[in-house]
Amino acid sequence: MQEKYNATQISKVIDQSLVYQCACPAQVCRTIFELRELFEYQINCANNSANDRLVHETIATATAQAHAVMEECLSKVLEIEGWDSASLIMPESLRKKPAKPI
Amino acid sequence: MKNAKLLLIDSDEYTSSILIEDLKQRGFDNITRISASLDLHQAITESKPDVVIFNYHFHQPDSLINCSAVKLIAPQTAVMAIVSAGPAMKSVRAWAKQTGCVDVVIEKPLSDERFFMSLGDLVKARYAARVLETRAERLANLLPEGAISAIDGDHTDEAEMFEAAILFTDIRRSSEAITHLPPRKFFKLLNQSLSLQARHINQFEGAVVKYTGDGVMAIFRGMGRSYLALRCGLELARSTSQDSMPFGVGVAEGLVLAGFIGDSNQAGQRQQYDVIGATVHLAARLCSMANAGEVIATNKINLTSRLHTPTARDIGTVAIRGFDAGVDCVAFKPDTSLQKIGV
Repeated sequence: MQEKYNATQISKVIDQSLVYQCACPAQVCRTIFELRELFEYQINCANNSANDRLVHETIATATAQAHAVMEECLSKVLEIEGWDSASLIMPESLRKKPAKPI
Repeated sequence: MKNAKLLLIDSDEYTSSILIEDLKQRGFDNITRISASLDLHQAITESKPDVVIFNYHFHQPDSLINCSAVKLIAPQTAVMAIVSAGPAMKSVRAWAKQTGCVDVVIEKPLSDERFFMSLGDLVKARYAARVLETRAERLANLLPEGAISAIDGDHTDEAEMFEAAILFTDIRRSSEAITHLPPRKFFKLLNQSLSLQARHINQFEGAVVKYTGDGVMAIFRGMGRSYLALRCGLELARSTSQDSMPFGVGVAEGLVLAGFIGDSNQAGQRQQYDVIGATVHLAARLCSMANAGEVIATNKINLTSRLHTPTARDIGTVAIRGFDAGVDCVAFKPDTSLQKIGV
C-alpha cells in the first residue's frame, strides 16, 4: 500500500490538535492509521482456503483505495487550513482561534 | 468532585492552554501546570494532586518517565495520559501495561464524553481511596503494633511464641478518684496519664499492647528488651504523670504468646490481638503489688538488664497467686526514700 505520509508526520498533525471540534485534520489522520491497521491485518490474516484469500484480498484492496482517498483528503484539508506542507506545523491562525469546549 | 486537585504535565503551551481552559469551564479550578520534568517533584509535593493529566507528545518518548516519577513520589496519585491515535497509542499502552505507571490512556484528539468521564472516575476513585486511607490510619491507631504486623503477615490464625519483657502499670486508688472527680475530669486526667505513659514506652522501644482501663500493658522485644523495659519502668515511676494519678509498675520477662483471639468468621464476633502467657500474668501480679511510684520486677530481669542505678531492693522470694513456686523479686523506688512494699 502506498503511503504519502509516514507515521511520524501523521502523529505530528494529531499531536497538535487536542480538541475534538478543532481537530478535523486529526480525525482524518486517525482514520488513516485505522486503515493502515486494517490493511496490515488483512495481509497477515491466515489463508486456509482460496475463499479466505479472496476475502482478505478484497478487503485489502478496498482498504488501500480508501487509504489513498483519505491521504489525498488530508493533503487538501491541510492546504485549505494553511498548514506548512513540509514541516506540518499548525498555522498560527488556527492556534489563535479561541478554544471551543471539548 | 470539582474541588479535585489536578496537575497537568504538558510541554506545549497551546495544548495546555486549551486543556486548562476547558477543565475550568467544567468547574475544575484547582489546576497546576508544569511543562518540564524538573518541576515535577516540587509540583507534586506542593499541590498534592488527586489526578495527574499527562499530555504525551509522540516526539518526546522519554517524557513517559514523568509518569514513573509521579508514581514514585506519590504512589496514590492517579495518572491519565493523553496520547495520539496510532503507533504512539500502541507503544504507550504497552508501556503502561508493563510499568503500571499510567491508570488511564485517553486517545487524541480528545472526545468530550470519554475524557471527562474518565477524569471523573479517577477523581471519584481517588476520593474513595482517600476516605479508606484516613479510616485505615484511624483504625491502625486503635491497634497495637504487633496486631498490624500480624495482619500484614501470612499466618494470622497462628499464635507467635517468643521471648519478651512485659510491663504493666496500674493507677492506684482509681476507684476512689472516679467516685470523687467529675467523670469527664477523671477521663481527661486518665487520658493524659496513659498517653504520657505510652510516650515513655515508645521512647524505650516498647509497644503498648492494650490499655487496661486504669493502666497499660506494654511489650518489649528483641535485643536489650530487659534493660529497656526496666529503664522504662523506672522512668514511668518518676514521671510527672505520677503527680496527678499515681501508679505502680510491674516488669517480668519470659516466653509469651501473641496472636488473634476470637473467631471473626462467625457473624457478630470479632478478633482481638492479645499477648498472653505466664510472663504476662506475672508482670500483672507484680504491678498489683507495687506501691505508687514503685517498680517491682523479677530478680531475673534485674540481673539480665545489669542496671547499676538506682539500686534494687531485694524483696526476697514472693509467693505469686497462680504460680507453684515463689518468684525472686526486687523493688525500685526512684528518687524517693524506700517504702514498705505491700505484698
